[in-house]
Amino acid sequence: MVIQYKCQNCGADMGFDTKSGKLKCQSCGHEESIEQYNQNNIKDETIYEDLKNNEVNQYKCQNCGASIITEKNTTATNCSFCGAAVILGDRLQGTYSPIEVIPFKISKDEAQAAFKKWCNKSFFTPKKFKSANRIKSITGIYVPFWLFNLNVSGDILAQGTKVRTYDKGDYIYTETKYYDLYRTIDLDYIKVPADASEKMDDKVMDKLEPFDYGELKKFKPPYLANYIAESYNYTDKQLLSRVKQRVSKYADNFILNTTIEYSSVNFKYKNLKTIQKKAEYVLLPVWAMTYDYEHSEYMFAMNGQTGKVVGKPPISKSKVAITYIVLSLVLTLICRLIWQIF
Amino acid sequence: MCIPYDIVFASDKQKVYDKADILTTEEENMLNDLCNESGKEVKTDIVICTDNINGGANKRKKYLEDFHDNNNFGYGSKEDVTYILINMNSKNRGFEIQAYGERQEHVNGDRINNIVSKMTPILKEGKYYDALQLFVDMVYNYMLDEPSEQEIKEAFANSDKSEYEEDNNVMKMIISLAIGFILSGIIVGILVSNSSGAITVSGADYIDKSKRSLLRRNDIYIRTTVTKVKKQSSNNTGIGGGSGSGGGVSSGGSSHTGGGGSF
Repeated sequence: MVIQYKCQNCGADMGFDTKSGKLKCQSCGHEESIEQYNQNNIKDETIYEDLKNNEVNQYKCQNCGASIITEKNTTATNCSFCGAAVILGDRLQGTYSPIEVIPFKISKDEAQAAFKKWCNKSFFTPKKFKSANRIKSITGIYVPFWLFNLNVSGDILAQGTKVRTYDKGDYIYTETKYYDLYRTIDLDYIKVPADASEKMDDKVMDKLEPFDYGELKKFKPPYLANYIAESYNYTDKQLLSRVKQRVSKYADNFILNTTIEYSSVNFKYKNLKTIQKKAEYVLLPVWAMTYDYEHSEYMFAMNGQTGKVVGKPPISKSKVAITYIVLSLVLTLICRLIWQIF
Repeated sequence: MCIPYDIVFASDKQKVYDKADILTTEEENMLNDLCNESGKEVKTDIVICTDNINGGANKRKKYLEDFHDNNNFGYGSKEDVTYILINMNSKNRGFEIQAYGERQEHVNGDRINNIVSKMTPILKEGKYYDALQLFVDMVYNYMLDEPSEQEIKEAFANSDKSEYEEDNNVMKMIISLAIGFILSGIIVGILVSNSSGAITVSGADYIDKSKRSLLRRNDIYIRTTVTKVKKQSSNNTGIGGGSGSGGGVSSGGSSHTGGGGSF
C-alpha cells in the first residue's frame, strides 16, 4: 500500500513543511493542516493497493510507475526516479504504528548551512573534505525511538565521613566523623529515549538529546512526506536493559546529590529495583549523513527539532602536526622573551 | 697613580660606624686603630658597622652592598675591603661579612663560615668588642694566608659570572622549550577534542518532579577518630651556622664574597 499526497488544487506532490508544520504543495503553495486531517477522508490522500507478489511486497510509484526500492524497515522514502514522496502505509500498521512523532522543525536548507558551519568549525578538517560536494547527501530521517517510563525504588545504606584538620601545638590533627546514611527513594523517570534503529549509532543518538517533548504530536502519515522513515529494529523488551543501565546511573547520582555535605561516601548496602511502567513507540527527527573519508567512517547528525549537532569531522594529521610544531616554537619564543624582560 | 696618597687616604679614614651604639667610645677608638693598623699591614681596608635594621640576611646583605657603593672604601688601586655588619634589631639579630676587591678570595665562603662560627658564641654573650677584635684578627690572618688552590677554584666558580649566565641561559631555553611544547600540546589537544558533540542531558531532565522522590533521609552519627602528625618545622635558627653562599654583586656593580649568621 503506497500513500502519496496530491494537491487538491493542482494535483502536484505535497510534502511536509517545517515552517508551517503543514502539508504544502511544492508547486502552488496550497497548505493542508495535518492535525485536522482525517484518515478516512481520502479526498487528498491517494492510496494505491499494489499487487501482492507472493511474500515480497512490490511498491510502485504512482507518478512514474517505477518500482520503489526499499529496505525492509523503510516506511517512508522518495521515489528514486522521480523524487516523489512515498509512504508505505502497510508498514505503519498494527504494532508498527508509531504513537507519536516530533515533526521536523529544521529545514533542509538550515541543516545544510549547519553542516557547512560544522565543517569549518574545526581548524583541522582537511581542505579536500571541505571542498567535496557532500552536502547534497544530507538526509532527513525519522528515527524510531522507544520512550520509556521507568520507576526506580529501594533502600540504600552508605557510610559517609566528614573530615576536618586543624593545628594545635606541634601537631596537625585530622578528625574523621563517621555517619550511617539511610536513603529510601522512589524515582519516576519519564520518556527516557532509546534509539530502536539498527543503523543509527546509539552513542551518537544519545548525544542528540534532549528533544522537547512538548512538541510531540499524535502520529499521522503525512508528517513523513518527503522524509525517510524507518520502523524499529528492536522491540522495547530488547532495549530495556540498556535503558535500565542508564537510569540506574541517574539514580546513583540522585542519591549522591543527597550526600554532598560528606567528604566521602561508600555504599554498604543497595537494594534498588527498576521497573518498566510504559514504553511508547515514537519517531524523532534527525538530519544525518554518513561518509567515508580515507577508509574511516564518520557521521554527522543533527537534532531535527533543536538543531544540536553531533559528530566529528575528519582530522588532518598533517595539519595537526604542523600546527603543533609551529605553535610550540612560537610559544617557546614568547616564553623566552617574557623571561628576558622580567 | 699616586699610591702614597691613596694609602694615606684609605688608612686614616674612619673604620668603625657604631650606629647601634654597642661599643663605648674607648672601644670604638681602639677598634678603629686596630682596623687601620692591621689593614695597613695586609694592604686591605677593614670596616665595622653596627646598626638597627628591620630584616634578615637579605637585608643585611643589601645594607653592606649599598654601604660599599656609597662609601669610597678599598685599599689602594685594588679596592680591597672587608666589611662586617652587626644588626642589633631585637627581632633580627645577626651579622654579615662581605669582602670586595681583587683579593676577595682571601675571605671566601669557607673562611667566612669559619669566622661566623667562631664569632657567634662570643656575640651571644654580648661581648661585641671581643667578637669584633677576633674578626679583625682573623681577616688579618687570612689576608696573609694564600687560599689553597681548591679554595680559589671554588671562589672562581662562584664569581665567574659569564660562565654562570651561560649555563643559566641554556637552562632558561630548555625550560622555555618545555613550556612551549607542553602548552601547545594542551591547546592542540583541546582544539582536536573540541570538535564533537557532548551529552548534555542528565537524570534531572527525565525525572518526574511532581512527586516525592526521596522517601527517607536519615543520617546517624556513629563515631569520631582523630589522628595526629607532627609538624615539620621549617624555621631553623642558625646558631653559629653561617652560610658562605651569600656572595653577589652590589647595585653599584661590585662583586663580593659574603656570609653571615644570627645570634
